[in-house]
Parts: sequence; structure tokens; C-alpha cells
Amino acid sequence: MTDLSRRSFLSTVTGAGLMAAAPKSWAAAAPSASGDWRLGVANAPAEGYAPSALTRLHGQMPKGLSGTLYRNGPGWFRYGDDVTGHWFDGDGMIQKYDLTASGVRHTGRFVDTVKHRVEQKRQAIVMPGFGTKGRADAPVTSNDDVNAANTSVLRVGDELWALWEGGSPYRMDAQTLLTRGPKTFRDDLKGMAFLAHPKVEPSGRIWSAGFMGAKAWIWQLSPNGEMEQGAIIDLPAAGYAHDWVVSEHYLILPMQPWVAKTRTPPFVDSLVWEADQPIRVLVVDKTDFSKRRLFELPSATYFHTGDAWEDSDGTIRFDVCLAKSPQFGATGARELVKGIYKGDEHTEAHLALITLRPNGKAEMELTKASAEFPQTDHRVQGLRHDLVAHVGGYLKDRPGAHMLSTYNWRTGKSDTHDFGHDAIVEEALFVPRPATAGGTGKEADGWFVGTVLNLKARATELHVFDAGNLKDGPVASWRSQHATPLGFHGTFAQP
Amino acid sequence: MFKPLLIAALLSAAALPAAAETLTVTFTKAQPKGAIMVALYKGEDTYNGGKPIKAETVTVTGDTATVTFEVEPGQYGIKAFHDLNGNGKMDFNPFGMPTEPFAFSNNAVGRMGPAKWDDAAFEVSGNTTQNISF
Ligand SMILES: [Fe+2]
Repeated sequence: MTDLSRRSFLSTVTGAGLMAAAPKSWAAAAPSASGDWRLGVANAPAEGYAPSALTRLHGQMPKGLSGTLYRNGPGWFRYGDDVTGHWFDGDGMIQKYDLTASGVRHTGRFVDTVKHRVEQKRQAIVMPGFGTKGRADAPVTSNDDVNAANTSVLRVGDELWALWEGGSPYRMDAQTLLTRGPKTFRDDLKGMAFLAHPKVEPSGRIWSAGFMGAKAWIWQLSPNGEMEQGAIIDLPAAGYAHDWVVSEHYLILPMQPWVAKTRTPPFVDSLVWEADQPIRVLVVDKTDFSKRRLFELPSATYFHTGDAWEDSDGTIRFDVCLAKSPQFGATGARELVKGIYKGDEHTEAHLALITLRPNGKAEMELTKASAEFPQTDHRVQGLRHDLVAHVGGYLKDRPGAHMLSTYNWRTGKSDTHDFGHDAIVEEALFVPRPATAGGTGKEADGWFVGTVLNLKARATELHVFDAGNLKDGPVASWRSQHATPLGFHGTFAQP
Repeated sequence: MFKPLLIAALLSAAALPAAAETLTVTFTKAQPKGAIMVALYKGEDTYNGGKPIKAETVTVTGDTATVTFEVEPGQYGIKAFHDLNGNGKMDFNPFGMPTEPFAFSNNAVGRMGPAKWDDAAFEVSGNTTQNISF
């Protein structure tokens, strides 16, 4: 008990206390020349972050910009020297930023998952995961017992769903962030996998998928998150799928040649990189799942797509961040939680445009834009878009991006703001300017809102950009009282 | 008066195995609906894929349910599942994962599968009780 309280205490203090609480194994890692990036994979306080106001650095909240930015990411990694096996296995924690005319307020809370509860109680890494073997006595009776709920969020009615990809969405109260439990869509679908990258049509209809081996389950949900239909479809390969693409008429499943061969945890060790194999893209008709087409693209790996659209002749296009090697997911992200980073340029992803022609031919157009966490204007989900925002610019001596950019497919031009060496740039989301504030409804008429971990200031910052002008820097910026662990994905809820 | 009673006692002892014991299995934390299907296995081999020595179905109307077995002393294991929708079988989702609660003797927990015999095995010698929580 004494030991337990001591650990809890150490894990809640920041600054000098953070390194005091760091595992001994970190002492061996060479200190970074600038701020310590390991701040991004340090445990957050178990009790969460109490509400606090961010400090304004410059600028004013733009007229018409208000709402809540929710972000999800792994927030708990270690009990002393007992470290999780993978960055993707940290316990999900939601950061909530409320933007109003008077500024920005923040609060944060862990998703109260079975995994988090079991491990906090035992003060040990217990459950198997994406890259964690787990203990032999891990109490696992379903996928949701190992659900980390740490990848993204979806706002549905008065709920916020904390998403993983191997189990159910975890329902939370969108205001208090109190956990209500896993979402069961139908009794016979309990515990089914649900991607962290659902796609919401302009109509509000929600599409998601779940993957298991060479099979996918397709979720079609109403705008209020209830089941409309679902079905199993056979896949051309058991490729790892973290994301997919949905256009106006099609569900598009790019199955990369990173293929699951066994079912023994940890999951990532079951994946074999088949560099000589193509990406097999399965295209399924939304209105008739039996209507399927198959395309082949050169070998590449990806985590994230942007969005898709269809040309008038039926050609399908989508943007995606492609890398040559899956080493980051396979080993790099395992080393991160141990405080180790070995830069490997082959793991750097670049923005690409994929074209699927009606004649069955597929093309891959790579840009030179270093890119991850692609984001588009969600109002035109599945429809033509010119702009895709992304982070990018990787460094040899520390993980994470230092730039925020947009790429314009029509002009082929990039618009970039460089936050510099001491900043790790997280996903930025497009927020449209509301009509009440003179919004035209056009693409890029609005803002990008995103967070950055400032390693020198040892604090997370929130920045607002004019969507059409990143290079002049943020129009307004705030600094949090906390350095929150690096997150993955978020959503912005406008009033 | 005395003699027939003695004979009756001897007869019943002969009809049952040498020393019949009562195994009481109590299930707790159950949802008050459907039925719990209980399979009792004698020995490691039958537990790992053979036929149960006895099987019972117990209707659940509260958060606990009890079933008793008369068995001879020995090593036993229990597999149980809660048939919530009363369709008489254990249900699985389209990916083959159970959608109804299941449990094992000693509250043993499997790792994405049934609990191992070593964890679920218990001794019946004298009247024995197993409390299994869902
Ligand atoms: Fe993702």
C-alpha cells in the first residue's frame, strides 16, 4: 500500500519529479540536445487533469470559432520499470479543450476500461495488446477486456466514444468524460472490432469496419449511432488495416502487405512484411456489399488515409500517407516507450494520391510532402476536396513531426508552418467558419485547430491557424498548465 | 422395526457409488434471466475435450443460482455459460468471440479461451461447494 501511494504520488508530479519517477532503464538513453521528447510518453496523473485555463500566448479567439476539441491518446505506459510493450498499448486518455471567446479551458480523464482498472489495481502491465505480450494470468474473456480505447474519438449524441480498433467503442459522457462502458450495437455483435477511423457521411450516416484475419465486418450506423446494417466480407489478404477510405458510393479497403500469420499475442508480432506483395484494394458498393472490385497498387505501408472522392467518369481518388517500411509500428513505437528513438528515414511517410480507374487500373502518385495525420474538411466527406492538412518533417534525434502543412491537389502546392526543433506537432483538425460568422461553406473557409507539445516549455499548446494561410503562423495560441502525453486523433464539436 | 431401516440404508448405499458426496455449485453476479448451462467434468482428459460426466441447466431468476450434483470423490472441473437469450446454446459474434458470459470452476480465467485444467480443477472429498462468479 505504501509503495502504491508512493508511485501514484511520483507519477502525478511534473518537472524534476517526472524524471525521478522515470524508470531506471531511461538513464541509459542519451539525453536529447533540446527538450526531452520522452515527456510525450510519460504517465499522465492517474486521477486526470483538473479543469484549468490555458495561458494566452498571442492573438485572439477568431470570431465564430467556438466548441470543444476532444483528443484521445495513450496516457499511461509504466509501473516503475514494468513498461508496456508498445506506444499503441498505453491506456486511453481523453483531453478536452473548450474554446470560447474568453479563451481555452482544458480537462482530461482516463477512459475507465477493464484494462486500465485491472492494471491500476495490480500496479503492473498485465493485459496483452498490439505489441504487449501480457501476463499468463491476464483475466481476458473478451476483446473488450484488453481494449485500450486509446486511438480516437467520435461524438455521437450526448456521448463521446473512445475508439480502439480491436473491440467496441467505449461510451463516455461528452461533458464529464465519465465512462459508461463498451457500446453494444446488438446482442449478437458484442465485442466486435470497430475501427478508430469511422467515416461520417455528410448525411450523418456512420461507416466503420472491424478486421480479423482475412475477414472484415462492415458497420453501417445511423447518425445517432444505432445499427442500420452489418455484414461480413471476405478480404483479398489478411493485411493490417488501421484505416480505410469511404467515398460517396464506395467502401474502399486497401489491404497492405503487412499480413497477420498467427493469432498469438502480441498482435504486431503476428504481422509479416511481404515487401514483394502489392497493396490489394477492395472496393465495395455501399448499397450492395456483394458488388466488389479489386485493384492492385505497388507495395507500401500506411496507417492513415485522408479522404476519397469520385470523378464524374467513376474514377475513385483518395489521399494516403505511405511509407516504405512498417518498422515504426513493428519496432520503433515499441522502443519509444522505453525511451529509445533510432531515426529511420524509411519509416517516414509521404503524402500520396491513389487513383482507381474504371478500367481496373490503379495509380500511385507520391508527393515529396512528409506527412502523417492527414485531415480534410469533414463537411465534404467522400466528396471532392483540394486541401489535405498533415503534420510532417521528421528529425533524426527525436520522434514526431515539427511542421503543420496543407497540400493542395489542384495546385500541387504546400503551405507550411514550421514549429521548430523543440515542438512535437500533433494532429490538426479543420473547423469551418459558421454561417453566423460570415462563413461561405467553401473549403478552407475556417481554421485548423491543433495541439503541439512544446518540449522547451514542457507544456502542451493549442494553436489556431487560418486554414488558407499556415505559413504566416498561428493567428492565436494558448499554453496549457500541463504537458499531456502525445495523442493520436481527435474531433472538434461545434455548438 | 429396526431391521428394515438398516436394510434400506444398505440398499441405497449399494445403489450409489461407494461414498456419494454432494457438490453444490453457486453462481453469483448473474443477470436475472435465461439459464445457466453447467457441465461437470471428471478428470483432465474429459475436461480437455471429452464428455461431461453430468450436465445441468438452471433457470436464473435472481442474481444467484444454485445447482447440486451427487458425485463420487475425485478431481473435477466445471465449464458454465449463461444462456442469456434462452436459445439453448452459447452464442458467438461473427468473429467467433463469445457474446454470452462464461465461467469455470475456481473462477479460473482463460486467456482468449477456456481456463486450463490446472487452474479449474478441484477436489471433491466430502460435501463440497464451488462459488462461481459471472
Ligand atoms: Fe489512426
